[in-house]
Order: sequence, then structure tokens, then C-alpha cells
Amino acid sequence: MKNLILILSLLLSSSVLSQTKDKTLEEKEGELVDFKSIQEVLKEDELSQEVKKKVSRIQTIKKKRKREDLDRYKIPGNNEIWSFLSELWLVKSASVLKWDFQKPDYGIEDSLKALMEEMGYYEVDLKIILVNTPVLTHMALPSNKGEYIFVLSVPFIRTLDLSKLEIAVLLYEDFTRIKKGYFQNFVAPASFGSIVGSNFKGKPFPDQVFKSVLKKYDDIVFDRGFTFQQQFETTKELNRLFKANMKLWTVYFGMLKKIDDLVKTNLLYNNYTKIFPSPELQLNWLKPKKEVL
Amino acid sequence: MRKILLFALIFISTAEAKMVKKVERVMYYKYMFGHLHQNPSKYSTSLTTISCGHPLKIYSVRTGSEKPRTLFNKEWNFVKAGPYEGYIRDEQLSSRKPECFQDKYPKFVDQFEMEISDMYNWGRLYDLYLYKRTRVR
Repeated sequence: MKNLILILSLLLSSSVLSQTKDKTLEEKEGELVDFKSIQEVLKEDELSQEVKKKVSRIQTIKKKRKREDLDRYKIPGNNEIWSFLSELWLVKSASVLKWDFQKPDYGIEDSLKALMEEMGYYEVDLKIILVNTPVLTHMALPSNKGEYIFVLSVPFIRTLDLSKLEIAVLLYEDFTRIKKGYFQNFVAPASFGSIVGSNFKGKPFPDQVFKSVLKKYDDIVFDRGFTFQQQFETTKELNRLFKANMKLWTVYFGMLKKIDDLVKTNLLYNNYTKIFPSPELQLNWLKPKKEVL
Repeated sequence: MRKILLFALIFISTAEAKMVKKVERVMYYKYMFGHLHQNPSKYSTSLTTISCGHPLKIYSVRTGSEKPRTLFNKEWNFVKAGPYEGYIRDEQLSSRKPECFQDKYPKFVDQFEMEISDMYNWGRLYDLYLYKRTRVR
């Protein structure tokens, strides 16, 4: 019986301690002293000013704590959420994408950096993850402002025997698609805009929205890909940009020709045209129109 | 035989005595998750997974009469994280405590119920990213 009482009293004291542990000295004082009941005495001692100061200090601390607690439930805004979601998708798809493997240093990042600088993109972070699978050939994923995430298949670039510049041009094409917002617009549901940057304190977390976003990453990367219209717009933009530098235009044209030959002959890549329709059409869009005299 | 053993023991003890390590400064891991490696290579065994904001003691190592150095294989720091001593890429460290995503949005990150394998993979992702920043205009 004595033991039981001892345990109970210990438990009670520990719970009281844990409740008071996080409070500041001012808050504890505020709880212990009921300033209202001793108002007259305080007035006589001219201490009421001091009490006011103390009460306002406690209120400020309480307000700050409340705000900090509210901030913990914030959902990142549009500028911060995309890299998290893309990396989460990469992490969750690690077994399918097989990006954790040893490979030689191809120097791809240096050639992409040089091309991006040539095209006028300064102070941007480029992250490339190489995958050891042909199921995802190349893709840029949505990311935070000033940052770009690329996924590139090593079997794909090896089969095509692409040069570093060709790879950089291929990734630049992906970069153009992501800049145009095709990927984000596809994966983000209508309610996404109102959710990002909001706060879910006291509300249920919209987990279905985020599950749907990650599911749509799979859809666009492995099944749906981009539309003919999106491909047309991308190709035309690159045509316009690269015409100022014929070397790049020739590399782009030659690279598309290589991909076109590959998808027509190699069964491993017959899904490619579903994702990027289609290299043959892109070549036609790039070819200068013959004028009939 | 005894003489050979004695000689080997003396040799090993003197060789060990020549390597001196000193804590140079404290730096912080700046990405979401990362790994402390056994050797200065991204493919080397991970000793432990660390998360953003983790403080790391950076060692400077002096072997014999050589100058003390903090970088190995050009880009790897020899560090101490908790009970572990291992290597981490210089580019992944910050001299100031970084503003970490998981600290800024703790309840949001909690909702995704990340498992240990996810944290491990996230760290691997940052090991394997080919990373470049384009120059200042």
C-alpha cells in the first residue's frame, strides 16, 4: 500500500513538473501571484507600474509562443515545396529508378553548367541524378526557385553514345519544359494553389492532395508524358534559341535524329514516344520549309 | 621471431604516434539528410545518417612532419559526429547553422511519416547528385 502511494505521488509530482518545465520565470510568477487581490497594497507601494510592465511582458511571451506554435503547422509556399516533393518522389522511387549505383565521372554537370551560362542563366543550382534504368530516359523535375533537378538514364545515353554537349542540349530541352510549367500544371490538382503556403493548425492535414501529386509524378514520368502541343512549343522555342548559335542547332537536330533512330529500332525504348511525342515530328518541325517557286 | 615481433610493434606504435588530429572548428550539415562515410568517397560505407543542422567537429590532421590538412581527396573533411569519426564532403557543410526545411516546417514533414530507409536514401541522393552552380553574372 505504501509503495502504491509512493508511486502515485511520484507520478503526480513528475506530471506537475513537466507542465511547469517549459514556462518562463515571468509566466510562473504570474501564475503564483494574483495581482488583482493585492491591488490596493500595490497602489500604496507605487508598484502598480511595475506590475503592468510584468503583465505586458508575460502577454508578449505568450503571444510569441502562440505564434511559434502556429508556425510549426505551416505548409511550405510555392517557392519552397517543389524540391521537397520531387526529392521525396525520387527517394520513394529509389528501387524503380535505381539511382544508387557506381558510375564514372562523365562531366555532364560541367557541360550543362556551360550551356546554361551561355543561354544566360546565372546563379542557378543544377542537380543531376543519374539512373541505371531505361524506364526513365531523361526528365526535369519541378524544383524551388533558382534550382533545377534533372534525372538522366545512363543506359539511354550510353546506347545513343551521346557527347557531353548533346547531353547538355537534351537536358536543356527538359529545362525548357519545366520552365513552361507543363510538369507542375499536370501534377498539381486545382486545390493545390490554396493549400501551399497555408496553415493546418486545428485542421486535418490534406494528405490526399499530396498523395495525388506524388501519384501524378508517376503518371507523367512513366505513362502520360507530354502532349503534342507541348512538344511543338518546346521544339519551336529551342529552334528559335539555337538558331543564334548554329553549332547548338546542329547538335540538337543530330541528337533528335539519334533518338528517332533508337526508338524505331530498339524495343527497350518503344515507350519513349509516349512520353516525348515524337522525335520524328520534332525533326519535321525543325526542318526549314521549302519554298515552292 | 621475437625480435621481428618487437620491431613490428615499435614500428606500428611510432607510425600511430605520428598522426595527430585536432578539432579545428564546428560546422553544420546543410542539406535535408546526409551520410558520414568511412572513407573519403561517396561510394564508401555510411557510418551514420545525419540530418540538416547537425553540428560536426572538423579535424585537422597532421602526419609526421607534413602540414596539417583538413581536406582529403580534395573535397572531403574528416569530422566527428557524435560517437562516429568519418568523412563528409566540404560542399555539404555550412559554417553557420543553416535554415533547415524540416525545422521550418516540422509538422508538415512529420505528415509524410518518413522511415529510416527514406532518410538513408535521401542522404544517398545528396551523395550522388551531380551538383553545379552557374556563375555570377
